Amino acid sequence: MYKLLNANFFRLKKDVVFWIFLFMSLGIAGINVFRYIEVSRAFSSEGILDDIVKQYMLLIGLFIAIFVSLFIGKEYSNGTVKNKIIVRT
Amino acid sequence: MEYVLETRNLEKKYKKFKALKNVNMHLPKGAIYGLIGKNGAGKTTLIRLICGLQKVTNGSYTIFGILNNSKKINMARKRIGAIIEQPSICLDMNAKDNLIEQCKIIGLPLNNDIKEILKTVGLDDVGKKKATNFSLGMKQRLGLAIALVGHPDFIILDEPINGLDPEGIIEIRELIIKLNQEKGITFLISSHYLDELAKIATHYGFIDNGEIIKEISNEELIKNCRKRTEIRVSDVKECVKYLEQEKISYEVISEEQINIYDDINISEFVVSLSNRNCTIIEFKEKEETLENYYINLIGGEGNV
Repeated sequence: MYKLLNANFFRLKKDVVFWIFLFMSLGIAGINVFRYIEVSRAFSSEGILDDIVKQYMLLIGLFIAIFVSLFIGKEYSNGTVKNKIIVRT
Repeated sequence: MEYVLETRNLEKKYKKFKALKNVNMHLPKGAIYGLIGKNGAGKTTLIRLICGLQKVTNGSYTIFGILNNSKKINMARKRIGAIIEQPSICLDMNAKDNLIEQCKIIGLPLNNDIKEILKTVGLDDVGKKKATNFSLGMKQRLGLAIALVGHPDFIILDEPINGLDPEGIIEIRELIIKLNQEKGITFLISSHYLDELAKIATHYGFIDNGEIIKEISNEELIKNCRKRTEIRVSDVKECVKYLEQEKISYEVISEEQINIYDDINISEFVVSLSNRNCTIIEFKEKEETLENYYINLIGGEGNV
């Protein structure tokens, strides 16, 4: 199991889409932090943080769902999953 | 004889459909075994069972002497490299990274092996080019390189030359011969390209309707496909006397038919037999290829 995870992390590191999604997530997180600071300065409302975190989680959830299905699906469409089954079953 | 792979009454059912029926196959160590059969004959199913991609319904098989339901079978499978249907490569990565990933899957340390394998398959100069930009031949060679990671003793190739240009076919053929002769790797190759297979295979297995209908070595095949002159004569005894006298190699097939395996002077042969009151009823030259042999075998079973 450790070897399979190790191999998948290696593939993850090489995946351009992963880095794009990661930086997009970080960017959106940064924007949300600024939004929070701006809004809390203007209105000093306590409920705003919850809303911002909820919106962010929703977006990240969407990103993760798209990315994981593409990342895992690629193993099946390329047939590379067969290499793993042959060696590790 | 030491067998790398042996199957005993292997059977695979998909609901009511029997994809494989009582398959008995013997793959000797160091051989290049050509698995021949038409589409849907069961070649890929057999390969998928051996690789552990599907479960056996009935029967058993051994890889390097280890039975399929033994706990040690995964150790035996680690000595197998395979390309099934299409080369299993990650298209977003370059050749080197694909091999590194396979090393990590197997759990091997990263060392100079990767360079050596890439050199063996002729992909050492592709640099950082991604596999998606490779030609079909290069993808096939990369698939073979992945199969070579971990120094396998047995490589399974399912249709390795499908869709390749003549140059690609020659490259793959030479690579297989090189690996077989230099590293002693045993190969199981399924292919429709009979002429290509005939150039490299040392053993053949003919599969039809999920059954291995014949297993034959290359020597036996050459013997069966040997160039010969088939003659039907009125008096076999007289004809044999003449052939013995002239030291011509022959084989009596029936009371009327004789096969002659040497070159003969036809006019002299006809005159001599005529002098012995022996009439030639039929005279034909025959030279069979693997293709003819296959067609006769399958056709003989009433399947064509």
